[in-house]
Amino acid sequence: MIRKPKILYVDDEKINLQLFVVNLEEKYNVLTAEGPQSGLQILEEHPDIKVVFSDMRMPSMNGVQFITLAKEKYPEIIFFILTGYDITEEIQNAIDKGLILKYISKPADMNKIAAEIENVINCG
Amino acid sequence: MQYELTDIKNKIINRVIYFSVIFVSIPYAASLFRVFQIGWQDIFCIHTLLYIIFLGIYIYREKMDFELKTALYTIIFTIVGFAGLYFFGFAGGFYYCFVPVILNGILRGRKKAYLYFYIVSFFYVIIALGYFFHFITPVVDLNEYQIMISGWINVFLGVIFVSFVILISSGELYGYFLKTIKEKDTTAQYLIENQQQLQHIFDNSPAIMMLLNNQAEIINVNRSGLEFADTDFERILSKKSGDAFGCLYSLKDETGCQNSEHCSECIIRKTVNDTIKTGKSYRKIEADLTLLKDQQNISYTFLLSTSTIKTESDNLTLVILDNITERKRAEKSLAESEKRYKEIFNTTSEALFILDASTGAVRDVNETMLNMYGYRTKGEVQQLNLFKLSASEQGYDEDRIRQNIAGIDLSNTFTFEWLAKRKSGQNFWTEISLKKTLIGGENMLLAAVRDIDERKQFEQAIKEKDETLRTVFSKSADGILLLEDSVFVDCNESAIQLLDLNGREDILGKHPWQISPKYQPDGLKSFDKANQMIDLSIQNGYHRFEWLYLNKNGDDVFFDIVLTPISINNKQIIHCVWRDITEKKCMDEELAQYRNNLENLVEKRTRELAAANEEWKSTSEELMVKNQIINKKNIELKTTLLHLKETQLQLLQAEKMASLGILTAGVAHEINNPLNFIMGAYSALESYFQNTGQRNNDRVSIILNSIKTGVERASDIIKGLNQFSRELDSFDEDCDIQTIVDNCFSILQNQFKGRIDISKNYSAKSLFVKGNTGKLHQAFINILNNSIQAISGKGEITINTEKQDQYVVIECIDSGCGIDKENLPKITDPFYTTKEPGKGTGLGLSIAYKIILEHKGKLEFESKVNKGTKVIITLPLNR
Repeated sequence: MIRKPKILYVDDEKINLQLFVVNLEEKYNVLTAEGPQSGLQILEEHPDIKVVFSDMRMPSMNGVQFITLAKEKYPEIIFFILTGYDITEEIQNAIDKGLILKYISKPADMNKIAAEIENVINCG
Repeated sequence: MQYELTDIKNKIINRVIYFSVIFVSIPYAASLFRVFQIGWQDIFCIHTLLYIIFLGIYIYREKMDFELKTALYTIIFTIVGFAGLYFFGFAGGFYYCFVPVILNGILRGRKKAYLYFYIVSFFYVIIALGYFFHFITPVVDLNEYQIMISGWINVFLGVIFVSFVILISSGELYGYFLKTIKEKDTTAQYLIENQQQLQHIFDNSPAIMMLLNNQAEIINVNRSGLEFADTDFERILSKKSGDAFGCLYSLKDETGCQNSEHCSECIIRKTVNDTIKTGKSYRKIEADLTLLKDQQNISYTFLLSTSTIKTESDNLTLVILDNITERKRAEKSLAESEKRYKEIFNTTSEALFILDASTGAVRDVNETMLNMYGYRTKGEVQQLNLFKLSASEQGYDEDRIRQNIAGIDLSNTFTFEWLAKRKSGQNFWTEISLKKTLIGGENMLLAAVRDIDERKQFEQAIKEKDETLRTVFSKSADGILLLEDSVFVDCNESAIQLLDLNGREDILGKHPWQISPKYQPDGLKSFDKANQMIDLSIQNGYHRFEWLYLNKNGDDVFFDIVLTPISINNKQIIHCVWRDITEKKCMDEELAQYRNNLENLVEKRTRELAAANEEWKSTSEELMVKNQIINKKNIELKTTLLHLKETQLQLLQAEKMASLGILTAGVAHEINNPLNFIMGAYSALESYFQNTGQRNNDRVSIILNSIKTGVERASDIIKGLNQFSRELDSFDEDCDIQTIVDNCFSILQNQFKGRIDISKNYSAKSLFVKGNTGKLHQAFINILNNSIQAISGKGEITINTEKQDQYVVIECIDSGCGIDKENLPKITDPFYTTKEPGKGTGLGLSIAYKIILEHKGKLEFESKVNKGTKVIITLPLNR
């Protein structure tokens, strides 16, 4: 049995996290974090995480800031921003710099997310 | 002519034949049936006797001079007949007795003569056959041989005569015989004489008479005709009648003379042609004709009569032209003079009456009378008499009018003033000139009436005015005196009082100095000054001065006098108004003292003020400059204020949008998260049902789709709202507006295809705007989508793009439902929509509005309900 690829989803809304897991656990080993801090911690514990999805607006740190920190440590990981906000300059800059691969808006289609992950893992 | 002559001749010939038949047939018939046993001598005697008897009766009855020649002819025929009788038996006698008579008839053109000939020939043949077959025995005893010879000669001569008659009837020998017979025939001689008489009548007729052949050529014309044509007979003969008389056209020539445009309409030409063609006669047709006489066109009027004379060889046309030109002219001038008279009668400014002198009844009036008296028709007036047309006041009764009329004789004209009455009953003053005259043997009155009502009123007015003036003069509070030749000639009551006189006689006829002190206050003698003043007034047309007068008590009285020279009936009169100013004079003196004091004071103050003024002047100049600056600023401020107001409005809208942006940015996120829950849950449910195999269950499908649709729609709204809070996006792309519009149409194609006609009036050059292509797409999609949705059913959208100064102007005109005036400002408000729920978010136009503003452009709307909407987008051109 091939081990399921590990992915991380960081969001301060618990329901979002639960649903993410419910929808994708069949294919992936989905890890979730309720904030950037715990997200970083999980990244440290699981160096085999391939893809990270992060919310934008979170307490203490926003998604781009979190990704900036994470990308420094784990440049191999592919980051996505998944947010209810419209795309901002900050996000656009991050995309331009290559920190973030894509901006996905909420409400997000799970099939689309799955397709993105598949895309990244197969290419990666 | 000839035909008529022939007619008379034929009459005679008829008688001859008639007689001959009778007196030849009786004895023959008798002998034929053997009634009498008589020899040819007996027959000859009876014959001659009967002939003389019948001839006598004929001459007696017809009362005609029977020509000897004709009688001789008849006798010769008779003798020949008897010779035939003797030599050729009964039939020959019978026959030869008739043949010459009948031949004569034939040669004269008598149609019936042929008939007689055939009848006689028929009997002749019968009798000749009778000889052959012996059922007729000749009167004279002949032997067989004689009878046979007689029969043969009869047949031979019969054949010759029949052939002869046939030849004549075919016209071959006509001319020859006509000539010989003309010379020899006594009847013809008579006829010629008759013809001469008629020719005489013809020649001496005052009317122009012509005989035309069927080629319309003149074959005979009378003297009047020759005189009129001014030519002689030889020259006129065989000419076409038009040529002969100088109208230069031929009656036969269809094209006419070409000399007159009315030629083809020429009545004479038409009538004569008609007579020639159809034989119809015309009588006394009036016709105008222009003829060339002495190189001049002269118009004539003729009475035209035409008739056809039938002759054996030809039909002749008799044309009679009675020249009535002069008579016409006279009639015309008479008519004109009558017309002129009528004109004068009707147009004169005086009302004219023609009245019956005995009854005063109105016979005729002119137009002026109708206007003056207010009647509409002459008929109305003709039922009235003078009494009804005069004022119904005392002195204007019927008796007086009768008296007035009776007093007028034929020689004089009476002029008097009279109060007349209009139809409306209103009286008015007239001046009437009345004259008696004879018209058509009747005594008539001619009345010329002048309306002098205005004059009368004017006189009255003058009279009243005169009285008014007189009253003004006499009752005036100022003393008015009139000077003529420096002497008083009139004065009013006030003058007498002011001057304290006993009466007018105290002053009239006096010179002003005579009622004044010797010297006036200025030292001049009153006499000199008075004259001087009068002279001045004449010189200047007016003069005013003060005058000292001594009253009865010897008190000084000052007068203010105004002299005005006036002209009355060519006399120079000086009109003097005297006003007592003694009291005023005293007050004036007091006032003068006050004035002096005041003047001193004023002078002092003025000096003080002058100094102060100097200081002020300099300050004032500064102020002036400042004032100008202020004025200028003021104007600037006004325009700024106007700008400000506009900007404020814009700001308000922008503010509305900005606060919305902030609001939505927050709200969007908050809503997106729950939406994300639902979306995630939907995905989970979907895979759950997938796993349980219930995914394709209808109910599950409906539920899942409902969730998905709900989330997507909510999400769309949020995405739309996000447009307001967007900060990112570059605005430095070169955007081709026309391409953008085209793209938008292709995206929206499924919404309008086949339903809406799109017409694009693009400017020839591409129009570039600096901005964000994506956003501009979004803006135009929203605008166009709105236009498309505004059209239910079929319609059209017109897109105009053009460059105006430094702007690109895009107009989108739809034929849709339009927006009413009240709602027009609201359409860019977010969530404002007129569409059914679910069809539109109400964000489209507000997004477009925001995008256009971001591009420093303008979005304007013009709309009429049910007519359509015009969206005008103005964007700054990329330089």
